[in-house]
Amino acid sequence: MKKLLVLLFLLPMLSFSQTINISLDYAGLINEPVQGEVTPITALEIGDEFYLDVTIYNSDNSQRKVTFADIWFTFKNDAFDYLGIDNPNPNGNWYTNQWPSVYEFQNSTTATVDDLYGQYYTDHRWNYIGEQSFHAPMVISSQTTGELIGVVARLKFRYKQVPNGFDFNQSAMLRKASVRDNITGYLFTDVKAFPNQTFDNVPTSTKVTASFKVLFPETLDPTLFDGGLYTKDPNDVQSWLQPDYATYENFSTDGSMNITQGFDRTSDLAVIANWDGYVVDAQNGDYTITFGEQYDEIVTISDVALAFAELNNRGINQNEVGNEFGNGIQFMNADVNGDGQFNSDDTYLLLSQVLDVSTYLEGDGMVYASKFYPKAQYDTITTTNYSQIPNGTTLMNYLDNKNNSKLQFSFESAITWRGDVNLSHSTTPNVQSEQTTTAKVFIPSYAKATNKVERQISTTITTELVNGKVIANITLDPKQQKVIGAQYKVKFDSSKLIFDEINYQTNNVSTNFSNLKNDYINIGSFVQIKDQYLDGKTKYTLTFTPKVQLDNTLGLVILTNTDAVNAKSEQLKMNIE
Amino acid sequence: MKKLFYILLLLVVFSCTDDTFEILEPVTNSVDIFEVQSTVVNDGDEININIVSEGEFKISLVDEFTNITHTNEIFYGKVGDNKLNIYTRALPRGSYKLLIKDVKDNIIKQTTIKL
Repeated sequence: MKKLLVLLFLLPMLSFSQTINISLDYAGLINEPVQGEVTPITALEIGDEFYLDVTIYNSDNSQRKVTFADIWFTFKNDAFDYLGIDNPNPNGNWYTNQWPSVYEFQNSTTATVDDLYGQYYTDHRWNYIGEQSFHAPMVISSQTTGELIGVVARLKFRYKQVPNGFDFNQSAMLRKASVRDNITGYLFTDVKAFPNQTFDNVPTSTKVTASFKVLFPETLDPTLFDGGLYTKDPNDVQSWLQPDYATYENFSTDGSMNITQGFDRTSDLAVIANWDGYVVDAQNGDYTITFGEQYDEIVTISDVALAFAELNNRGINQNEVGNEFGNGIQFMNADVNGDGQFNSDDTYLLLSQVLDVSTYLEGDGMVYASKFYPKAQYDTITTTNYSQIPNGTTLMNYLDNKNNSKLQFSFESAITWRGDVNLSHSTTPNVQSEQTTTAKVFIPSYAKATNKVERQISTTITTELVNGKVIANITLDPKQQKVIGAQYKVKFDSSKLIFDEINYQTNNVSTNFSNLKNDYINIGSFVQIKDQYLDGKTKYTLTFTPKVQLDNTLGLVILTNTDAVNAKSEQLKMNIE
Repeated sequence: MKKLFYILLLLVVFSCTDDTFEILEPVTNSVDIFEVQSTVVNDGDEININIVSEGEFKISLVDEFTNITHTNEIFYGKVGDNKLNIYTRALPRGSYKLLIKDVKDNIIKQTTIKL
């Protein structure tokens, strides 16, 4: 009798044990050549677009159903483009987003790798490791009142050209998940990756292929640029046109582009790369970031400070060069008026550009600012030979494609910019002989610095409603740094706010500036007097008038990009707190 | 003992019958956003924040990956439900930590939202 009682007690408890399994399964091409058949994974070729299905299995959905799922993956974006998500289930309403492959998922110390719940809710981390990361994070998230069960989402990928010997292991992988029943408010705690946590073993392709990659630095988003393969117009040697079948598309997240369509080994070919700026935003509506807005982030106060420093630090006899610039490409970029030499005319043009007094760009297009070089050539530019290298701005990337014995072509271009003196938004040059010969000091931008910890300061933004106005206060904490320049990009919701004014509380000798441009304002300060710095009392107060009735301000005014520079002309990182 | 057995048996029987569920919206205005582990928000959505003591608070939006605090709003919270709107048009798409901090910058509530 006692045993029966114990059993009766246990029964209800056992009946509540509920397992959710999530699986990631290859499911054939998006457009199958033969309807009803599934192309096997062993037949995948470069350029193929295919599905990875996400399946949710619920061990007992009689009472608790999955109606919310927040599922995180990583995938190798060197080999695949993520194209988005198809929704086979009427109850699914998927949000999706992906991030660049500069983060590495660090598993929780307490949960097993396949314990998706444990990974989500314990101490997993996303470590920033820069360009050496193989895996790009992505998320899908759906909240509904209907049940998510069976194949709930179809992730779409495209197979890109990869280097020989590419490791396809863990090409896509389930990392963490939060799954709940929104109807009962129940959070499932037993969520496993099963039977397939990863997608692996893609076959190498045997076709003749060509890929083109711009080595975008991490400060640029490659997907905001587009381009395509071009060949010389046989009827007009000055013109270029796209060969038959060639595509024109956005660069993928790693800066690459498949140019196999239209490619041959006999014609004069080039890739034209340009600014697109189009952003798909399903929630608030698509929008376009102008090239001007991007350029405002490329040339900032730290470029100006470094240019002034190079000019001012020419030794006792004023005949030394390269005391601040360590690379030939810096001299080329600093020569913003393009007269073949970097001098005080250029520094004042740079300052005027940042203060928005005038611009040295001849037009709004990227063609007036961008420069492309084959990576191999870029790495040979030194402080002594730079004057022999063409320094004009361009969108063209000429291809060395005339090799009939080659099957797989991979072209790499470096990108750099007129005015990007500290190379913050340029491909990092890898000039072997440079560091030991001419350069005495090389001050890389913060992103490329090695002494990152010492080069950090902090800043904060607070917003509040005061007497019907939206007030945003930005303060600076220079910590131990002698800050001579600071710049902020303040974005605001222009559909709800009108910018009124800015009040500066800064060092009396600083040059303060603010430029309103559509829905953002560039503000900042620059000190050119010796031994004078921006201190901890530095404060910028921006006032906005609401266009609509507001009860609070959360998200209306935000800080996006920042820049700061110290007295040694070193670019600093501002931690926004 | 027999009575106890019958009571337990009845309990088990009732526990196995289908419950009648009231169908609720997944995230409604009446739910404290900090009681939901993760949610997708749209521009202008009203969120409810339940606060146990009156005073000045800071509500922050922190990028989950970069840890950049894109904005902090200072607001005066009252005991109980506090309804705030969240505006997303100026923010980059992504996953954010939504934090409530007291005047000493101690985090008192935290959740994740997606834009």
